[in-house]
Amino acid sequence: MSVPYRIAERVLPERIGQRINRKKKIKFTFDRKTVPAFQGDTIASALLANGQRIISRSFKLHRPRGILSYGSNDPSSLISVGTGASRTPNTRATMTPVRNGMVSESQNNWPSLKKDWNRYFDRIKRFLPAGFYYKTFMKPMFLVPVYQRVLRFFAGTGTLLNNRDIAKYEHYFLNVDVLVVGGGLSGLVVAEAASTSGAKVCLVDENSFLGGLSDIFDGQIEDITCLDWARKCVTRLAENPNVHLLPDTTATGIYDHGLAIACERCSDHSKNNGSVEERLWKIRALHTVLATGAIEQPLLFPNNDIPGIHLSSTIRAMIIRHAVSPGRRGLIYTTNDDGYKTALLMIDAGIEVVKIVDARLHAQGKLVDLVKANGILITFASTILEVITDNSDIHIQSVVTGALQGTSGITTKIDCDFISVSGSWAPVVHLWCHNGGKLEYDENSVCMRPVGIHDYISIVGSANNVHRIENLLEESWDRGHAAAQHALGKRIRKPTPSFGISQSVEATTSEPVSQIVRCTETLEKDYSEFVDFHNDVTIADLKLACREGYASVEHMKRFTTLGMAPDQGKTSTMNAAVTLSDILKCPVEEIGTTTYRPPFTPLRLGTIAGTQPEFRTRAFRQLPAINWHRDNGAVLDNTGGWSRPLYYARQKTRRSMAITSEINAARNYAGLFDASSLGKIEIKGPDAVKFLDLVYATVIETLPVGRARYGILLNENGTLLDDGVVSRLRTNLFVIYTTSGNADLVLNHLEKWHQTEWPDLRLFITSVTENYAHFSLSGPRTIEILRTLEGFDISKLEASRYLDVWEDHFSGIELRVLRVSFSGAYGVELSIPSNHAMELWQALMHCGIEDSITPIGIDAMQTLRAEVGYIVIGLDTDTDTIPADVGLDWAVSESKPDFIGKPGLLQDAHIDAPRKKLVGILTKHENSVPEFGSPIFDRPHIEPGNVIGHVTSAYYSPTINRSISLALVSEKHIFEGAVVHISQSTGTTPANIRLSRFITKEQAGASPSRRVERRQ
Amino acid sequence: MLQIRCPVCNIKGDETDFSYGGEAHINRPGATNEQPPNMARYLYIRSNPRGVQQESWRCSLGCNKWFTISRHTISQKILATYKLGETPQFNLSGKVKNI
Repeated sequence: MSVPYRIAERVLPERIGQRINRKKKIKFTFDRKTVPAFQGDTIASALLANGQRIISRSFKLHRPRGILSYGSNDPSSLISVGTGASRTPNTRATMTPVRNGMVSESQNNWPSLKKDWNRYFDRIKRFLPAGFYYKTFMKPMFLVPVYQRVLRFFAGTGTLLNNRDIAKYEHYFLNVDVLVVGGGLSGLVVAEAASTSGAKVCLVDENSFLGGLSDIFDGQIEDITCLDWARKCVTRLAENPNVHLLPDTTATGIYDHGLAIACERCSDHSKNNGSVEERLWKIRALHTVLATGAIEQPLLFPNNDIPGIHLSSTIRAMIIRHAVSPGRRGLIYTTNDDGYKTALLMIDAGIEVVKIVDARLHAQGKLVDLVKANGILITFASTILEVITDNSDIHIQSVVTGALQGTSGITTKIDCDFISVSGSWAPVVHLWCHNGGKLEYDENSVCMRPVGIHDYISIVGSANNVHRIENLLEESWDRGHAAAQHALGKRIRKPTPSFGISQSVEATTSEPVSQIVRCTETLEKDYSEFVDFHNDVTIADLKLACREGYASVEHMKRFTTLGMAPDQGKTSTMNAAVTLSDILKCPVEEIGTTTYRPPFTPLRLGTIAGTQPEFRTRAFRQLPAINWHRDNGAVLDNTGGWSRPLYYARQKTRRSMAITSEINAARNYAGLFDASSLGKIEIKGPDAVKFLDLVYATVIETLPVGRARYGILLNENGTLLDDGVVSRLRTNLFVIYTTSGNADLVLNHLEKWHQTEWPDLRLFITSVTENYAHFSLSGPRTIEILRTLEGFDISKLEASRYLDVWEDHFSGIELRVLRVSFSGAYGVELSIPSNHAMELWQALMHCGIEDSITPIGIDAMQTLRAEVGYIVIGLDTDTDTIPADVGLDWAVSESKPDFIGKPGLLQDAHIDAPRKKLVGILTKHENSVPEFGSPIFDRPHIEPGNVIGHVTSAYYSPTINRSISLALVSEKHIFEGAVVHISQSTGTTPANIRLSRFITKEQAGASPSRRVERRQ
Repeated sequence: MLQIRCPVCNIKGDETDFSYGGEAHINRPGATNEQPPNMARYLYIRSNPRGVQQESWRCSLGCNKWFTISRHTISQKILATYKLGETPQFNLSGKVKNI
């Protein structure tokens, strides 16, 4: 198979084809066509070598697009690589090394890349300006989803995988003194200077080869070429234990306090590192030096996006690195010296240079003389007027060149098959700007360059707009030394530079010229002068944006989508700024650039997610008696940080049956609920009472020892934070109980107020949640059961009143006994040190009384408490609920001078405004249980604006055999028996408001039975 | 991501090791039975400066103590870190230039 555009091996073998190994022939496929390549090729270079110029179709107009640029800044060369589950869409052909047998495909075309039907959009592009879709496809509203589906087919990049991504990712962390971003000459020198000064250095570079562009620029350091010097420097750094080199790693963002995020592409790497495809590095550096280099900018002329138009540095890189010529006859269009350097290399490589079109008015120097000596025609003050292609729009046939506006010259037509373009070199300032770095327009080099200083970030080399080697090396050495000094926090003697005298190619003397080089003829063709190659934004679009009032650069970006493509405007921002300045007739520095935001290059979501095990490793706390629950059929649920029984399946196969039998048991006999997850906090100290009176809305001072009280905690704005029982065990020892899910919240709330507002109060706040198991026994047979408990003094219980608290014993182990109930039934709660939890639980379960005790889960517990109208804070309340809304105003002290939430409760909004109140709801259909959160309407039709409240919790109550709900409803709709309508999946269902209790005290099981029925 | 040093236990960590508690030095109105005139200001209005802000943080994965930092909201630089009850080492109303 012949490879038409590969430069023969005999041509300058030392210089040309440095990265390929001609002895290792490999093959891959592009759109099912086999493509021969050498080891060391990228997909882009192999395709170019085989004459495949078109790589993709553009986003909107489906114009053919080729390789504009060499590296990660190429706007158009997105392809998908791999097959099946391992396919990766939107991979840059210019960044992907060829591997044998690789399968690659072009994107965004149908039925094929060359014969994309949608290419006809290009013919009508005058009628598809920026904003066309937004303006056209908005009405009628109900068709918008249809439009979206249809348009999705025409516009877009690669298609997503339908299955789970099988690639593996991981995160690495690194702490260094100095981070160097960019491994070009400047970055290498910085790394060497910093490490020689004693700093621990990490150097990242997005390319596989360090040394940056040193191979495509001629220059001398001492008596060797820049490339050879860079190679030696890399060897020295690789041997230095203080230096961590990370090639193939793109720093995508720099965040506060010197945190850098970098993405390492591993699978294409020669070293074996398992199956990880990409690795995310989180690098914390004391000082970061950006040596990110510069990106050559394209030029504006009609049809400047055709395949076969390349940046001049890209052409040099293709020739030198891969021995690939983009064509046979090249025309060079330049605004600076780079075109001349490319011309000389093309001559050396045996590629015909038909003409150099230089937009500058004049230029003198060695470079110009050398080019002239080779007999190449140069026209100054001229520009490209037209690019003529064959019928397919893919192959360039000839170029019409002419004089710049305001000058005189001849218009000529020249045959050629590729064009080298060179605007200016724009510093890569993205990372600099992520941390608020400032930019300034530099008229001489037509670019935005960084200005000002930053504490822990410095920018050097061509990224700092210093391009000549003799200046760049010195500057980089100084910055590297300064970075080490800053990072290590001490003065360090500057080490002797590792380089001698250096020299770059002599520059020509000339007047700078901006990218906007235009002549009268091209003015009507501005709808084919592309500024953003990927998103098809033309000069005409920018003019439209200005006409419609989107002239500010940030507005222009949103209106035209310029700079929003996957390349994030690396080749379009500068041209856009200069074009806008031309349209608006104002200086470029007033135009500015859009905000630079991370990431620098796209990051995969998988890489950001990192290691994703099949099962999460998050730990849930286990109840002390978990083994009993497990052995007895408990169905566990992980909520509120705990693994807790929802219900006990036992013989009952259906969930609803199991719950019903648990509830019946708790109402008629006895139910045992493992409430160990309840928050338990001990408040101890001489000022404990004083403190609790300040944090609770309820009065605590009057609580005698041995008694407990229901108390509520408020936020400072008066809304409910949590509720629970406050018990006083001794004069200076209180135990407060919190909702399971709020234990940490309440602990932190108390700590915060103690530390910040009342630090002088003498007390300790200790969480004992996990130290005590807590069992809630409720139902008429409670006393009978406890009578069987070994060592338990039943007389204390029989003599007790509701809300008494005392210490008792079980088998010699101290118990805390609390006479409270969550279900309205007669009940007792027992706290026992966690290590004895199983003994107590088993003793209760096997008390020997027939049918007397049933374990109950959360489902039954929730229904039991709703039957008697007890609320759950956070479920039946929201962040706007004050105590009066849920009938808890009795728990708020009116006499206390101060407590948290007291000032908030006095707000007008809490006093005057119509509020939502908690009510009971009975649905007309007894079996219909609404979903939690269902909206409630005042009429049967669902209309926005008619919502008067929502269901907060709803259950089926086996005690009264019907559905019961709690709801927050706007107070003006509340009266006994009011008809409301609850939204359901099928319309609404009618229901009545119920203000009295759902069940009677007798039904709840409030009075205990004292019979003893001992098993024989 | 901010790096913070706890002035109480002297542990340095990422901001995710700490909890943010909003603007510091908000004076709580004392005991009252009427709505104080500056109630909304106390509950809801924060200065949100472009410049140095005093803010409360808790050493939530360390000693669990609250402390105060002076953070420049533009440069993210932390100019001072101090314990509760200590005098700020940094002028509360001062503006910092050239950061």
